Amino acid sequence: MTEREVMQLLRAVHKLDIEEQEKRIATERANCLPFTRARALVLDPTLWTENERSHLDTCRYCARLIETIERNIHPSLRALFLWQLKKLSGDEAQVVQYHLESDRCRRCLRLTQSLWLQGLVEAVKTGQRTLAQLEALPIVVSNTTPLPAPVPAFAPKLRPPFHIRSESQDGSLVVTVRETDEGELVAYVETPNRELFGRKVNLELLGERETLTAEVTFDFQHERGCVGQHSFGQFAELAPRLGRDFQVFAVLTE
Amino acid sequence: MSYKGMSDEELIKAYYECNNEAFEELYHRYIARLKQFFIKARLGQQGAEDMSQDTIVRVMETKTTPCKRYSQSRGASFKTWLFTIAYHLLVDKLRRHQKQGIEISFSDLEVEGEAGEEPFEELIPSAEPTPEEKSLSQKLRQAVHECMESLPDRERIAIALWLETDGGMKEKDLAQILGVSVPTAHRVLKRAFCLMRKCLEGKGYR
Repeated sequence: MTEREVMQLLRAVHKLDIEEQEKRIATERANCLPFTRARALVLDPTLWTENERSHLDTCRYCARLIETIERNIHPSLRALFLWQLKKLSGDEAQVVQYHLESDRCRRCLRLTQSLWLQGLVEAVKTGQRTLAQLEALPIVVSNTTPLPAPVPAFAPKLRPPFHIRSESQDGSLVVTVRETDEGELVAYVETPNRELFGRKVNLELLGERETLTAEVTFDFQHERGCVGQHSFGQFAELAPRLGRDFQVFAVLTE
Repeated sequence: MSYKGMSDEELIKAYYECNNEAFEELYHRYIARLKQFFIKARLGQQGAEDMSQDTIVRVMETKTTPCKRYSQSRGASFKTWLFTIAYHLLVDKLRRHQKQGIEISFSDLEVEGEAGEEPFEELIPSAEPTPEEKSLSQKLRQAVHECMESLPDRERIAIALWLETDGGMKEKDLAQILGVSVPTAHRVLKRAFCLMRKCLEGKGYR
C-alpha cells in the first residue's frame, strides 16, 4: 500500500463520515433553535415563544446552547462598572459598547441601572471607594427571568409557584426568590460562611418598570452557615409593577 | 438573497454586517465537519457535539470584538481560522484532562531548517472519487476507523485536520493551526500516514 493510497482511502472514508454526520444532524437537530435565534433570546428573553420554551424543556442541546451563550456573551460586572465610570478602553470598551448599544442586552442594560452600582460609581468618582472593594465582595447576578402573565382574580391559578435561585461565582452567597403558598414574594439569602452572621445583603429586584430593594440580614445561624429573608409583599400585586421580567442583583455590604 | 453560492469569507462578512441568515449558512456548512473533527479527537458523540457547539458560539461572538473578527487580510482562509479556534478549544479541553495522560506535543519533531521534503500537496488526489473509493466496503471503512483510533493523539488530530477541505488542507494551513513550522507539520503527517499504512497492512490490506 502506498502513501497516496492511504491518503485516498482516508479521504474516501472521511467523505462518507461527513455525509452520515450531516444526515444525522439534519434529523436530530431539525427542531432546534438556530444559533443566532438563541443569541437573540439571550439578549432579549421577552422574545421567547411558547413553542421555543417547551422545546427547551426537553432538549439538552438547546439548553446547553443557551447556557453557553449566556456564559460567553455578557461582559463582566467589573467591565460594566468601568464602562459607567468611563474608564474602559480598547477592546474591552468596544465589547461593552457593542453589547449595550448594538445588542441592547436587557440584562446588562438593567444592571447599569442598579442603585447600588450607581452609588458605587459615584463613590469611586469622589474617591470614597475603590474598585478593589467591589471586586472583593460576593455578588449575585441572575439571568433575566420572565414573570408569569397576570391571571384575573376569579380564574384558577394553573401555573406552579414562581421560583428562581442564583448564586455568586464562588458560591459564598445564594439568593432564592420565590412565591410562598400565601402568595408572598419572598427573598432568601444564604451563605455557607458562619462568620457572616449579622452582616447585611443589599438586594435589588431589577424589574422592567420598577426596582424593588431590600436590605436582608443574616439573622439565623445553623451548622451549615447563615440565612436571612425578606418579604416584598403580595406577588400578584408586585408582578405588574416589575413588568415582563426582572433579575436579581445582590451584594454583601461591608 | 441566496447564500448557497457565497464563499465562507463573504458569509462571515455578511454576518458581521448583521445578516444572521449568512451565519446559519456557515453553521450548516461546518457543523458536521466540526463534529467529525472532534469525534476523531476521541471525544465521543456527545463530547464532539458539545465542542462543535462551543466552537460555533465562539465564532458567533467574534462579531462583538473587532480585533477577534475573521479578517481575510490576515492571510488565512475562513476554514483555517475556524479550525484554529476548534483546535485551541480541543487543546484546552485536553489540558484539563492531562491527568489522564493526554498531551499533544510537537517538540520532538521541531527541527530547524530541515525542509526539502516533497510537500503533500503534490500527492493530493483529484476531487472526484475513484471507482475503488465508490465501492469502499464497510469492512475496509471499519478498518480505517480502527487504525485512526490506534494512532497517538497528535498524529490522529493532524490527520483529522488534514482531511478538511476534502483531504486537501495545505501543510502551511495545518502548520498554522497547530502552531508549528511547516516542516514539523509535514513530519507529523508523514509519520501519521506511515502508521496508518502499517496498521492497514497489519489488517491484511496491502
